[in-house]
Amino acid sequence: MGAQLAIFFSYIFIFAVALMIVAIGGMFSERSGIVNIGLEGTMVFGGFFGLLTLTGLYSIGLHPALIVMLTILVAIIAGAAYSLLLATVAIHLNADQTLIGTAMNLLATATVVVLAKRISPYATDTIEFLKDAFIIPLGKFDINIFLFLGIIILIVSWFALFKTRFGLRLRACGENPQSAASAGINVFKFRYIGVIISGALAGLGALAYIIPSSSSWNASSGVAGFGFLALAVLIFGAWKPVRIAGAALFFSFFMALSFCYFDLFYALFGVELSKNVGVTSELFKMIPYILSLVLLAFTSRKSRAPKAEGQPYERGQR
Amino acid sequence: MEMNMKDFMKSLPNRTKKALISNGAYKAYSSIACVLIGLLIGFLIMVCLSPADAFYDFGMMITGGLKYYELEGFGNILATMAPLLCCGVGVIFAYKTGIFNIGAAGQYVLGSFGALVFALQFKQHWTICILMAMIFGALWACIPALLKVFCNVNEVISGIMLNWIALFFVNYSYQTYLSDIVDPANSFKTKVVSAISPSSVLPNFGADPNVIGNTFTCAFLIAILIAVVAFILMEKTTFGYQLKASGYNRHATKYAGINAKKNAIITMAISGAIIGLGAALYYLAGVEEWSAQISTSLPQVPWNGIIVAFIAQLNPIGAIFASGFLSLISVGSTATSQSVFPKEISDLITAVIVYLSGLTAVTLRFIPWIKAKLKKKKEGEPKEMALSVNGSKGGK
Repeated sequence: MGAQLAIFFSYIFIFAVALMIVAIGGMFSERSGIVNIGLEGTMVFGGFFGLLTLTGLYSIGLHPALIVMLTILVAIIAGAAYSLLLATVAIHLNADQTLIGTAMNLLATATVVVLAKRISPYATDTIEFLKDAFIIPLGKFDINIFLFLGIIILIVSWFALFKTRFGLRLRACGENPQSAASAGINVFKFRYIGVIISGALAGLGALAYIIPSSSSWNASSGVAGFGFLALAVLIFGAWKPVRIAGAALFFSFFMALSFCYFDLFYALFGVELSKNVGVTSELFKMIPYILSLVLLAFTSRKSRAPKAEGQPYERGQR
Repeated sequence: MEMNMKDFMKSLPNRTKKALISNGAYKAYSSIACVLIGLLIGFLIMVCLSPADAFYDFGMMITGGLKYYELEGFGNILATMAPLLCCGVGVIFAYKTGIFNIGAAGQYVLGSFGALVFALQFKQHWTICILMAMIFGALWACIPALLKVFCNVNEVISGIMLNWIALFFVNYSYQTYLSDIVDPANSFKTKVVSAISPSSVLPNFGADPNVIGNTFTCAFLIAILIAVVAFILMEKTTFGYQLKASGYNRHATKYAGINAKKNAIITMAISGAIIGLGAALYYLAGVEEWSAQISTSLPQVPWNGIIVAFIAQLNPIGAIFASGFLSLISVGSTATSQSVFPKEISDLITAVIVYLSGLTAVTLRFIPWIKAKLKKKKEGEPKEMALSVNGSKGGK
């Protein structure tokens, strides 16, 4: 019984940390006024290059600590670079952010599958990797370093957003870019920063999701809608870091349940929840989405979303 | 050469000349430019992957669908084109009223569910299956519309949520109370429609499956018909005008006495119905069976439908060509040597094209400005250019 609970809780923390990191990334982007629907694709892109680095560095036998640092660095850089695809055209050309985000999601999966198949000697799109370097064993409870990174990101982003001049200016760009500009703020610069942070954190979040939860990664299934779930977390978290962390924990409870509901219920209550009694993992996966839809229905009248999100900023427009 | 071009332009009748510089023509030019640039980028990527084979395999991808597989390839292209076209037209329809139907994937999933349940479980005639697919798709599309109209929920966010809810719901259903119609021996895919209920399969006019492929059906005719009807509905009717008007300016249409709320719901219902139809055309033609255990990714066709919509610059007739092109290269890409050039190259190219067409929507806005600039240059009054810049930019 203890073993099942330990697995359950470790899953909760893995998903919660990953969801929180990506959602906080999305928060920076939306707070600056740009909606990043392309989070899913950015995760796939950043995660792929991270894993590539990981397997590559293992094969040349580098020190584990160095491997961890370089892998994370590459994922962050790849994610940030990929998000520039959105930033440049959304900021300078006023392109439709939803369309560009959708294009980015499709582009990332296609690119990554082509590259993965090309690199693999057997033309498969699955990458196998070793995760030892990222895991700190602690009795029954494995702790991965993303947990620490997540906590640091949570604190830093809360502080940056609400306690610094940078945060105030970023929020101003998302609420009312015209008056921000009239106060001498470079709206373009802050929107760039917002989107790039979202890309970097999406790359990191992809690793936080992929590495601790499995030992191989399939490029075609990507991150299985995790980027979209992060958008839901962002809304549930009302665009605030601490609430996002809470929402991520809440969502990941159901995600973890969808993975180990059978063992858990059998160990705790002695019931077999199988297809025969009408329970499958899809049932648990559905819950977070339905809840956020219901929440949206009740709160959207007086939404706490940044007022100018999704709207292009043009100089001289009133 | 330049002189010849000018002479050629002069020799054209006035109507042709006008058509060549109309806004519609500019849209067509920019679409073609996007496609060409997308293909060029795809070619460059193929050169990077393997310079020696790039030329041959690139040609194979473009023409292979027709050349390599002969008539069977043509049948396959038509079979993959039909659902794609429907999804494209559905997305266009919603976008005209200013709604980005990113929930297309969810409506497609529900549409396929309606079609397959009525084909495999109730063994109905294909017309009924199609009808049910449309109803399922329409009902699912009404949810984001109602949420938008009555609760002010952004349709992009609710659409994304509903996509995944649809996928989980459908797969849950197949695994539990509808487990009779999935085949555990075939990795939990839905059973083959033609084996269980032959009357549910779309008719193929008695064409020989050995010649034109076993996925060839009347699906493409239905899809093209839908595209034409949608075009007429949008461009030639009062209803279509109302829809487009509420897309341009919500407040003005309200002032003019048009019920924008009702229109938004009707549009989404129609959009969802067309997308659901697309799903029926895919699964009732037997292109593929539904995998009831894959809950990690949404079907690709409706996303490609969004691509079709934007390559076609939101014109249903253009969507016929766009979906034909996408199907051509996606079938062709299976004819390349897979170990060197995986078939996802065609996805990559289409993704690049849709990214670029996201930009042309922007560049098209500058056409009036460019036209004005050209005119002013002829008249020799470059000073007033600045005014026209502000005029075109501050317009919205």
